[in-house]
Amino acid sequence: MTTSKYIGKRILQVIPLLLIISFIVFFMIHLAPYDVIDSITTPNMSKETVALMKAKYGLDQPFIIQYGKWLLNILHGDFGYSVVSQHSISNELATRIPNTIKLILPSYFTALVLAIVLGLFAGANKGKRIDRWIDGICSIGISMPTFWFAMLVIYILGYYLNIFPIIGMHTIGSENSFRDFLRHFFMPYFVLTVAFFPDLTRYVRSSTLSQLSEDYVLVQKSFGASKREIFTHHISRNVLLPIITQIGLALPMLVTGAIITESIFGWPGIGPFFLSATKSLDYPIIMAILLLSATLVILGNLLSDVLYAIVDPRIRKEGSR
Amino acid sequence: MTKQPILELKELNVALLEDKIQQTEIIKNIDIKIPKGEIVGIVGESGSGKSMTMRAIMDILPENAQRNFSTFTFEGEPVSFAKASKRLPISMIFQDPMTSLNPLRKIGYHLIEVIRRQQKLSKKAAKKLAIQELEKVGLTNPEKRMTQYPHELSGGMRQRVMIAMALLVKPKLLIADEPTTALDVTIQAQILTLIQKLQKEEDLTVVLVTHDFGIVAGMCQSVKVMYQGEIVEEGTTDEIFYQSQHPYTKELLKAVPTVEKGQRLYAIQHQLETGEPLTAAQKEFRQLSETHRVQVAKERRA
Repeated sequence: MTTSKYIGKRILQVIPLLLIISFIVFFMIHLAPYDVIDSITTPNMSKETVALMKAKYGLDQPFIIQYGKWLLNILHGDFGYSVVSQHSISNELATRIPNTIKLILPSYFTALVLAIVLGLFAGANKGKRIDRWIDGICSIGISMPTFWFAMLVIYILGYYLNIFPIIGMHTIGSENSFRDFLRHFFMPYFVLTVAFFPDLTRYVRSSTLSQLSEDYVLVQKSFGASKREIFTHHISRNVLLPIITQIGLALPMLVTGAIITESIFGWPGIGPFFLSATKSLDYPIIMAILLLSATLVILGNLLSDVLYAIVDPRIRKEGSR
Repeated sequence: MTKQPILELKELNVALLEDKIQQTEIIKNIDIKIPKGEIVGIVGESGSGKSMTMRAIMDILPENAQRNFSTFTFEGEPVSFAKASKRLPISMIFQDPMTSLNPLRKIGYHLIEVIRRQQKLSKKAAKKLAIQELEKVGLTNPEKRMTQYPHELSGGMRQRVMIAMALLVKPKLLIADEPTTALDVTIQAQILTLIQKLQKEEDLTVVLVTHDFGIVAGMCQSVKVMYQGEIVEEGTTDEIFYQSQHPYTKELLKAVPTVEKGQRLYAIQHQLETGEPLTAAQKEFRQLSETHRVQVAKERRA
């Protein structure tokens, strides 16, 4: 199978790109007007003590050597330590990323399914009342700030109707209860779904419209295919192609997709972690998360290329040449 | 009329709605009669309404188009386009075979879908039938073609697939809307020969839309000339070629490129047309022979 060859080629292309990104991330942070020493030392320490501290952390060495050490550590899965709490960043990420994924994956998936259904529906009924309704809902969804909608949801569902707990992922003491998790899960999940689906719906709709204007649709009509047959047998599959690109591009959202929503709901994911690190200039954390999301952007592109090659026979063919 | 017409359409009008108030008439009150068993050519420049007329017959006009007609009969039976009515045994092949097939579906999928829509056949039987049909239209290695995607075939091969698809509907009338415009000259000849051969074998009536007079001369028994949404002249091929009456037909014939070296292509002179445009009421047809008629202005006859 030539697809595997194509995929292998693409993966090899990713490696230098990742190196460059890691370098840029490290370089940018290095340019910042503060460094780790400022957060450990106090102004009344003697210059010798500061120099000693610098030497201890390897900060007296040239930039490129520091970068090399940092990169080597990362390759071993070691992102270093938070300068504020002195906790291992890797351990912290290992517990927080799954929490974020638990929240974002279901929301994105729901939004995607919703968008495909609504988008196809709107595209099929272009210009009719249902299309205008869907378009209107999407406009509202796009223009509404997520944090504001989150507040609204908290007020109505959490406070006024008092159905769901407002904060956190578990009630203390019932960490293993799935029901308890779901109760905490619902509100942020709902908010994120509403945040994700309008863009996707518009995307599916415009993709449907462009497929509908293709010649082969006219040909199918002339052969007496009903609208339903054209949609189920032909268009739905062709519309998938551009959506696959979207799925790949959404991969970095698994880490940084819900920073604000997570913070509002006190969800113990990457969001609050990243925000508090930014506030306290905890730069190793910022660096780790930057690197992670940049890596995911690249991997996401790779993923959509690979999925594309699997779905679209035309690309499959070109890979073999 | 010696032969009974397979299709007769009277006072066909098609208008495109630009917005709620404005509309553009693109087909103006035309009558079409297609004699059974013939190859009828429809010629005219781009935008003269050839394709739109065909799409009106196939009921695949664009959504903003409005169509009305006084009578439409197929093999003597009146036709309605009500939803529940049966499909007419007409099929159509299109100008650009490159885009006529869904790029994500295999050739076999297209053919089998068409077969199974009409006949209750098992997948296996439908596949067999599809392979037979591909053989009939002259595709080599039909079993392999069934599992290939459209982009793996050349333009000529794809047009053959389209013809196979069209024939699987078991049509009595085949509409070919510029079937060779997008193809190489050598492939053009092959496809046209194929259409001619199939027309004889399957006892088809063919409507050939084209703007190539060479094709018309070689294939058609009769010709209709369209200009600005109207049929301005119609007759047998000989009548149109040797006794053309309408100024536009004459211009069109003059514009046929010759192979003489150094000669410039002739551009149609539209101002040779009757001065100011005439309204429908000012025009009428003059019958020159049983088959030949031409549109003229009323005043001229007087």
